[in-house]
Amino acid sequence: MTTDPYTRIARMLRATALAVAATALALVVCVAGPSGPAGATSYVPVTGDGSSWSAGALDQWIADVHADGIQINYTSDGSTTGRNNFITGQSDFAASDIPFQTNPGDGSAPEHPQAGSYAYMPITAGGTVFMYNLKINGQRVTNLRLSGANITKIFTGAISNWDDPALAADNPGLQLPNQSIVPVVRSDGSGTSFEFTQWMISQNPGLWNSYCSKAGRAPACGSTSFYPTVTGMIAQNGDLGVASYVSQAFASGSIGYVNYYYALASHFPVVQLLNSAGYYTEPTPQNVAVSLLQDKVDTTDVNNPALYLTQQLQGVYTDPDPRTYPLSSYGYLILPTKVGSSFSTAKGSTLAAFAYYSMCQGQQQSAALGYSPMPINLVEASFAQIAKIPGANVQSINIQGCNNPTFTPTGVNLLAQTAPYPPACDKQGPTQCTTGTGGAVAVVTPVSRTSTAGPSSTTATGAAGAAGAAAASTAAGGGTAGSSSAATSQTCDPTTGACTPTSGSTGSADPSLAPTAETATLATATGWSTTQTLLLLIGLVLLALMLVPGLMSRRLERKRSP
Amino acid sequence: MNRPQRLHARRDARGGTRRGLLGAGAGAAVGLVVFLTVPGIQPGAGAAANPLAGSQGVVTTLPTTSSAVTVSGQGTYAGLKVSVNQTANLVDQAVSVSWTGGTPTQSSNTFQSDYLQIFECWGDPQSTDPVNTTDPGPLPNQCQFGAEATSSSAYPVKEPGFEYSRVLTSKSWSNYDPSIGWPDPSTGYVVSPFQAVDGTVVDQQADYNWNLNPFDPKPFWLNQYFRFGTSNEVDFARTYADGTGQQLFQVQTGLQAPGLGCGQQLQPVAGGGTKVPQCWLVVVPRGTPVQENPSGVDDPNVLTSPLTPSAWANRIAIPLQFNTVGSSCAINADASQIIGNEMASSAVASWQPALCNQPGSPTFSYIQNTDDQARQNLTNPTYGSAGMSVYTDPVDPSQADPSNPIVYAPLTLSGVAVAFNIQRVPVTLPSGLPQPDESLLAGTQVGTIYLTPRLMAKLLSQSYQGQLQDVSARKPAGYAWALHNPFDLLTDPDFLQWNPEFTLLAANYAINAGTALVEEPTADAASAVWQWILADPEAKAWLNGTPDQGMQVNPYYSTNPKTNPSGVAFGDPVPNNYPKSDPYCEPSNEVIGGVAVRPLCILDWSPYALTMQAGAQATGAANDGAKTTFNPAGTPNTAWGANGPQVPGTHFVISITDTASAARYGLQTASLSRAGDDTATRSFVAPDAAGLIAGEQAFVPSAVAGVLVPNPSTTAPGAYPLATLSYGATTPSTLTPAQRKLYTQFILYAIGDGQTQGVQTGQLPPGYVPLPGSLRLQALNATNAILNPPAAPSTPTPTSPATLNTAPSGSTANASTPFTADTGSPVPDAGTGSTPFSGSSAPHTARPVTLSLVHTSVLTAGDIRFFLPLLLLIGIGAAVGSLVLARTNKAVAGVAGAPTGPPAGE
Repeated sequence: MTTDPYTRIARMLRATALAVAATALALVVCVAGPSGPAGATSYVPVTGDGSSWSAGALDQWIADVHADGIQINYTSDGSTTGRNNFITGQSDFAASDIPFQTNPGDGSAPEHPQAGSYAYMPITAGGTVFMYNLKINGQRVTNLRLSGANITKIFTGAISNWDDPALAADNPGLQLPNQSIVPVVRSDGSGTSFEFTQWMISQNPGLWNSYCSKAGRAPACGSTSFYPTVTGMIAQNGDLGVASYVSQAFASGSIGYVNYYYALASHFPVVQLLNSAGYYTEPTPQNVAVSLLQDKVDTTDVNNPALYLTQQLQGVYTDPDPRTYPLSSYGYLILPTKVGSSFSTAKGSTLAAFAYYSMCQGQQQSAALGYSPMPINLVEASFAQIAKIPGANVQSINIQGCNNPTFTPTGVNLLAQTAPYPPACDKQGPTQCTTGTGGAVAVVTPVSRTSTAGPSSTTATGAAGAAGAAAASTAAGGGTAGSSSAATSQTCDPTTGACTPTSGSTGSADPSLAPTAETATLATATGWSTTQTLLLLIGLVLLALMLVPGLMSRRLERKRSP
Repeated sequence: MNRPQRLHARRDARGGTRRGLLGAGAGAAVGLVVFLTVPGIQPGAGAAANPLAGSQGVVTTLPTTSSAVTVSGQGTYAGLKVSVNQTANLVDQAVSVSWTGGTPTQSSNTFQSDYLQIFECWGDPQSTDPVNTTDPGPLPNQCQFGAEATSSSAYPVKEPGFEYSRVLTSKSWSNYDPSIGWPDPSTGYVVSPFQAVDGTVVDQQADYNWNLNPFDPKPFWLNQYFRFGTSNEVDFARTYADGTGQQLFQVQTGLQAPGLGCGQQLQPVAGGGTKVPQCWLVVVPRGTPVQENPSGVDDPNVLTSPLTPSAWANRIAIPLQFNTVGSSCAINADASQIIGNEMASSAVASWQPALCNQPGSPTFSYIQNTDDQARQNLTNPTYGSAGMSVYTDPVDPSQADPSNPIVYAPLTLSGVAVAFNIQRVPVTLPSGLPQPDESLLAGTQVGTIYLTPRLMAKLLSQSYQGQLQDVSARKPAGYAWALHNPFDLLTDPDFLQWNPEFTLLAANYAINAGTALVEEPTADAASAVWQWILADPEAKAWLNGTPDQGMQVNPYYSTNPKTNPSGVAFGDPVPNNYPKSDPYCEPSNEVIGGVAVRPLCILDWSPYALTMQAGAQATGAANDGAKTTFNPAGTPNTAWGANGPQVPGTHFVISITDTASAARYGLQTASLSRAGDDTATRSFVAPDAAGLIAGEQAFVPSAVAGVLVPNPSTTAPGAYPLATLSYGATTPSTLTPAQRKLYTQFILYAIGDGQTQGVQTGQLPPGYVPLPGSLRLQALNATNAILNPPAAPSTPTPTSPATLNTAPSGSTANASTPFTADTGSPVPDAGTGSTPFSGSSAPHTARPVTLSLVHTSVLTAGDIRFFLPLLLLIGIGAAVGSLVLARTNKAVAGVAGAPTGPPAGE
C-alpha cells in the first residue's frame, strides 16, 4: 500500500469541505431541492449513455429509484459514444470506464470537454473477465486458469491453440484440446478494451507492441478503445455482443472479455487469472474490493477535474495479496458541473440524488449483480464530486445517511477486510480446483493428475480433516491483521476437498468464495471433527472443574472427620 | 429551393421511426393489448381458404373507458372525428387515440402530407383564443412539441423540414413575421418559445449551428424541459386508406414531463399559491403542402410546424384529467433486497411505491436477474445475497438444504408471450399494383397471428433461408437441406394455413420474418417455450428430421444426434435459453484497405436482447439492433454498422417476452396452439386473462410438495400453454425476525391490494392476471411459515448482509478483539444472554450457509469468544458449586452425623 488510508480519508474529507464551501454560495440561490426525502416530487427526467461494463448496475439503480419518482434514461452504447455525447451536449451525463482521451495514444481523435464542465465519479467496481466456451471430450470446462502473459498471448495471436504447452502449465489438471482459440473482442469504442490493452501494455509490452505492428497500428500502440484485430479474431458490439457470441455452441474454443455481470447472466465460466501472489482468482465482490485497495485513485487536487479521482491501476496488476484479481477496476460517471445547453439545476438536483443513491443504498445491490460495493474513501470523495453538480442538495449528501455495505467505523473496507483467501488448489502449481467459476459456479470440472507429478491426492485428503480448524483461524487472523501477512496464511492451508479427485463433493461451494476457513467450517458442520472433540473435552474438563472441588472437599472433609 | 438548411447529414435509405410512445421508451404500464379473437378460436382452417383482408385483426386500440371522448375537427377537418379511450384519472400510461374521416396519408413511408400530429400541453383554457372561441384550449407555446434529434435519420421523412420543430417561419419565407415568436438571430428562424408550467420561458430550443468539433463543440439541444427521447410527441400519425387511423399515446405526468406538470401542483396562481394545471391532448391535422406551406415555398412535403398559427387553427384540444402525482418512496431508505426474474418485475415495480407508503414504510429493492441466479441466491448464498428470491421453477430438492427449508409464496401470474409489431405491406400483383383489398389496409397494425409449436421451432432454429443469408445462391457445402426451405414465415405454407391473410402480405424485412428476437441470458421462460415445443408431436417430428412440406430443420437443432453436427441431440436436456448454434456466415464482397471485410453471421442479422423487456421495447420501436449496414469508414472487422429502426408502415418484428412487457410497450401477442393439438381444426389460445387462468388451472405438482409448476404441454381446453407463476421464495430460518416481518408484509401486499388490476401505483399492471384464491391462500400460509419457521435451528442466528450493514456499530464492541470482521455476527443477544452450555453447539447445527461466507470464517472465532464468558460462568458455577457442595457436605455430614455420634463441636 502506498498511501495510508487514514491520511487519504482525511484528505478526502478536507476536499469535501472545500467543495461544499465552494458550491454553497451558488446553491443558496437555487436551493429548493428535495429537503425531505419522502414525497420529493420535484425530480425531473435525466438522460445519459455510455459504458456497457457498468450498465448492469446502472440499470438496477435506475429501476430502484423509479419508485422514488426519479426517471433516468440510460442507453448502454459504449464508453466512447457516452463521452462524445456528453461533450456535444446530447446527454446530461455519461458513464465511461476511462477519462476523456485528450491525448490518445492510439491515433484516434482527441476529446476536448469544455473546461469546467465535468467531474469524474467512480460508481461501480468490478472485474473484466474472460468468458470462455471450451469443452474437453464434450464436457464443459469451468475451471480454466490463465496467467496474464498467456491471456496476452491469446489476444495478440501468439498462442492460437488450446493445447499450447504454455496453457497446460496453468492447467495441470486439464488435458486441453487441440482446438483453435477464437479471441472475441469489442468492435465498438470501449473503455473495457482500453483498460485491457493498458494492462497488456503494462505487463507484457513486447507482446503487445509486436501485435500492434502486425495489426497495422504502429506507431500508435498506446492503450486503445478500438481493439485492433487480425484474421481469426471476432469483434462484437458491446458486452452483450461478446457474451452472446461466446455462449453459442458454434463458438466452442472462443474466449472474450466482458464485465463479470454478463458471464453470470449467461451462466458461463470465467478464466481464473493468475495474480502476483501466485493464485488464480476470479473477480468476486470480495476479491475486487481487495484488489482495488491498490488502485491509486488520484486525490491530489479536487479542483483538477481532468485528474481528480481518476485511477492508476498499476498497483492492482502487481498486488501481492493472494485474493487480488488483476483486472479489477472502477467504472465512472461523468457528471456535469455547469448549467448549460439543456442542463438545468432541476436536472442537477435529480442527478445528484441518483448519484448519491448509487453510491450508498444502491451499493447494497452491487454484489448480487457481480459488482463490488464501493469503499468509503471513494464514496466520500464522490460526495465532493456530486456537490459540484449544479442544483445538488448538498445538505443531504453526507456519510451519515449513506447505507453502503462496506462501511465500518474505522473506515476500513469491510468487504476487503473479510474477503476470504483462495483455496490452496487455486495456487499456481500441480493442483487445480474442480469447482466452477462465474455463472457456472455449480458445474464441476473433473481434473486429472496424470499430467503432473504433484502431491498425491491421498496426501491432500489426509491433511484435510486434521488441519482444518487450524487453517481456518490462521486465515481469519491473516485477514484482520492486514494483507501483508497474507503470505503466512496461504502456506498453511493444504486442505479443501476441492483438490482431491475423489468424490464430487464440491458441487455447491465456490472455492474462490469459499476460503479454506469456510471449507473447514463446513466440514465441522457436517460431522464430528477436531472442533467437536475439543469442545467435548473442554466441556468435560469444565464439568470436572465444577464438581471435583466440591466432591473433593467432601471427601477430604469426610477423611478429616473420622 | 427554400428548404431549410440543416447541418444534418441526409438520412440514409434505411428509414426512420415514428416517434412517440415507442420512441419515448421508458414509461409505466401501457394498456392491455386487445385481442380481436376469442380465445380458442379456429382461424381459417385449411390452406389459405379465401384469405380476407383484415382477417388478422385491424383494431389494436385499448379498451374504452367511461371517460372516453370523441371530438370533431373544424373547418376543413370538420369530418375528422378523434376519439381518446380514456381522459380522466390518468397516470403515466398509454391511451389510444383513434380517428375516422381523415384524408389518407400520402406517401406512407415519408409522410409528405395528410397526417396527424399529437402532443400534450398544459394551460388554462384560452377563451380569448381568436380562432376558436367555442373550443378553447391551451396556447401553442404551452405544448411539449418539437424535441428534435440531431440525426435526421430519426424521422420517417425523406428530408428534414420544420414539421417536427418549433420553428414557425423563416426570414426567407413569404409569411416571415418576427413578432409571432422568438427570432433566432443566428438563423433567421422565428421559434415558438416554450412556456413551462412554472412560468419559465425557453426561447431558443436548439442551436442549429451546433457542431461536433471536439475542440469547440456546440451542443444542439437547449430546452431543459424535454428532449428527443423523453418527449411523448407523435410527429407523424398515419391515416390509412379508409380514412381511419390509430395511435398509442403515452400521457406523461409532471414526473416525466416537468415542463407540463400534469397532476402536480405547480402552476402559479395570481395572488400567490399554486394549482394543478389543466392538461390537454392536442391533435393537429395536417393537410397538403399547398395548404400548409407558405406561398412561394414550393415543396412536395409539408414542412411547417403544427405550432404555426395557420396549422394551430385546426387543432383539436381534448382536456385530460390526471390523478394527483402521489408521494414516492423515500430515496435512500434502507431497502430489503429481493432478487428475482423478469416475469414479476413489472408488478413489483408497481408495488414498490405503494409498499413504502404502508405502515413502517417498508422499502424493497428488486434486483432483476435470471431465475437461475435467484435460485442460487437461496441454495448457494454468498456475500450480498438477498433475503428473498423470485423465480418460477422451484429449487431441485437435491440442491436444497433440508435444514433451511424454502418457503414458497405465489406472487404473480402472467405468461411468456410471443409479441409482435407487424404492419401490413400488401403484396404486389403481377400487374405491378398492390393487392387491392389489402392495399386499403397498407401500414395498419396486424392484430393477431396464430403460431404452433412447430412454427415456433422453425423461428427459433435458424431454419428459414433468411437466417442463412444468400444460402440459395451460394449453395455452400452441407446446406443442401436448406435449399428447399421457405425464406420466412410468409412463404411457409405451414404459417399461411393458420394465418391466411398473410398470403396477401409481403415482408419488407424478410430476415425478421423468419426469427424471433429473444433474450441472451437463461430463463425459466425459455425452458417453458422449449418444453411446449418438444411436447408437441408435430414439432418434435420436425425437429427430429421429418420435413414439413419440404422444409427441414437446421441440423444444428436436430433432436437426432446422428444428424446433429454437434453429435448431441438438441433438446436433451431442455434448453433454458435460445441458442443460435449454426455457425453459418455470409462472406462479404466489401473491401477496406485491400482487406476483405469480415463475413456477416447470425448475431449480426439476428442479435439478442439483454432482457425480455428490452426485447419488447425493441419490438415496439421496430429496431432489433441488427448491424448489417456497411460503413466504409470502419475497419474490415468493424465495418458493419447498426441498421436502425424499420421504415414505418412496414414493421415486422416478433419477440419472445413476458405478457406484462408486451402490454407495457403496446405490442400485439400471438395466439398459440397447444402441444399435442395437431388436428386440422386445432384451436389457438391468446395470453389474455381467460387463457392464463385456464393455463394456471393446468399447472402440475413439482418435486417440491405444494409447489405447482407451469405445464407447457397441457392440452386442457382454453389453456394458454406458456402461463407462468412466479414465487417469492425464502429460507425463513436464515432471516432475522425483523426480516421475516418485512418479507411477510411484502407478500401480504402482493396477494392483497397488489392483485387489483390497473395502471395506478400499487396495482397489478396489465399483462398479469390476479392470482386465484387458492394461490393466495398458499401465499398466506407461506407467510405463517415465514413468521414461524420450523424449530430446526433453534437460535435465529444468521444475519443476512442486510442486517450486517444496518448495524455496523456492532463492531465497536469487538474492536478490541482481532475479529472485527464479524461486525454482524449474530452474537449480540447470545453473548449477553449467556445461554446454557447447549447453546454453544447451536452455531454448528444452524448451518452457516446463510451467513455470507466471510461470517463462516469468523464462526470459529465466535465459538471461542462464546466460550470466554461461558468459561467465566462455569468458573463461577464451579466456585459456587464447590461452596454449595461444601455446605451440603456439612449438611450431609450433619444429618449423617446426627445418629452416628456427636459432632465434633460438642
